[in-house]
Amino acid sequence: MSYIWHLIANIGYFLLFVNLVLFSIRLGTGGKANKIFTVYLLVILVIQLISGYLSSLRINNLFLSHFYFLGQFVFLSLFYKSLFTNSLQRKIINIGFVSCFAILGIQYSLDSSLLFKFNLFEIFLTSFILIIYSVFYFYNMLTAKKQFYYINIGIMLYLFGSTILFFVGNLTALMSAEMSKITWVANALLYVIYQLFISFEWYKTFSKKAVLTLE
Amino acid sequence: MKINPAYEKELVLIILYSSLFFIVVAIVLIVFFYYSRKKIIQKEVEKRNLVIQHQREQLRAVIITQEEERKRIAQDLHDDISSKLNIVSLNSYLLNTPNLLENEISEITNNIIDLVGKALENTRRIAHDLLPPVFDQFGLNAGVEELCLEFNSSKAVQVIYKNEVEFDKNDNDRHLHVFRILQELMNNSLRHGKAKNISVLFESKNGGVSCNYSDDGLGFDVNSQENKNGLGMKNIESRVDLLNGMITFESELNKGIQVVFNF
Repeated sequence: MSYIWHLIANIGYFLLFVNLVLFSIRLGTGGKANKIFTVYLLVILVIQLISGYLSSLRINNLFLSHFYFLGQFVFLSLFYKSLFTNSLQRKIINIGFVSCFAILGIQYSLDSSLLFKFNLFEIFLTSFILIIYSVFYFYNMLTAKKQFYYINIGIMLYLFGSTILFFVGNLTALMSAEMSKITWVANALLYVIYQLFISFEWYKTFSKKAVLTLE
Repeated sequence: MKINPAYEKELVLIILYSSLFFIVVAIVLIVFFYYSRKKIIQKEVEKRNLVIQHQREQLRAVIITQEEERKRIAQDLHDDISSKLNIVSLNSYLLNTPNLLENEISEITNNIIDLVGKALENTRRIAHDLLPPVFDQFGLNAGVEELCLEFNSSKAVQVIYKNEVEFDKNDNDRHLHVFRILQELMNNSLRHGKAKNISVLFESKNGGVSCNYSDDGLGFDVNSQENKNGLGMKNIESRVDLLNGMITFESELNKGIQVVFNF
């Protein structure tokens, strides 16, 4: 099971790397949202690489999970904010941003031991808020042009599925290695699907433009 | 603390199923979005098509009216002016005939003066029909007053006109549309409605002007497609559109009509 997990997880990282490269070479053509998304991919990749390195040194890398969830929250919030034109929605993002950090700041100052394991509340809060933005964006697209449609589908599927799997992150430490890997395999699979949606978005949005510029 | 292996399997199953459940929820949301979007866009397209069709019909009405107007002007020129000038020209040739008697010359000259006078009068009438000089010089109020006077003088109909608004002469371009609408309405009342009494009232309303028009004629079926698509109707609608106004028709058979529009 461990072998399968490594394989799928590495496919996920590889796809993440490919997507980062793909989005980087089209950085100039896209708008602000495109740039923010590219930075998001870069940050996530860096966090994954560091956590892989630390785990190879057998150092506890769980504190990186906070960077992962908060980084994802920050950059995807900015990503959605750049896509929203409705002032109320933009205001909601600002409010979500401030309140999320305020609440988590209070929580960590009260219990700093949370820094070294999965903070369930943090996972819940960041994922939940992002899912709301994703729904907002679907709502906006009802009458508008489909832009970042597939990325939005990917984000929604991944957040819905993976949030539960991260919730049990602390629990898996108490299980036998074999059993705990099953949930991580599921998570890695979801991650691959998420990255595939991002690749597909790139294909739909940018690959045709490349052909046009060549003609 | 370790978890009992017997529960472990159950636990993992629960975790996987909850994850799967939420993924299915996400898929349902996405599918729902996909079909809602499709439906909304389809409705939007239908709405736009209706608007385009409406505009096309208006355009068609405008073009046909323009052609009819040309035809009418051509006919007026031909019947009233060309024919008279023709006779004037013939008479002028006659004057060249040698050995004409004194009284013959005076008869021909009188003929010519008479015909040229009639032709002149006709050109005035045609020009007046095209754009009343009173309207052009003194504005909408005077134009409508004169229009009412003309209808009154026909004795077939009694027009009551009331105006509580001061019209700005700089707005004459817009007021011409109002004038034409009233012209069309009055013509319709007389020709199709066989009305005996017509009332026209301008009043200020919400910063704009509202015009109330009513008659006691035969009226018409407001919902009939035939009436809605009539040229006159389309023309009035186009003009109200140009004025950025709204128009409402109220009528029943044999109960006259009430028209209110603002500009």
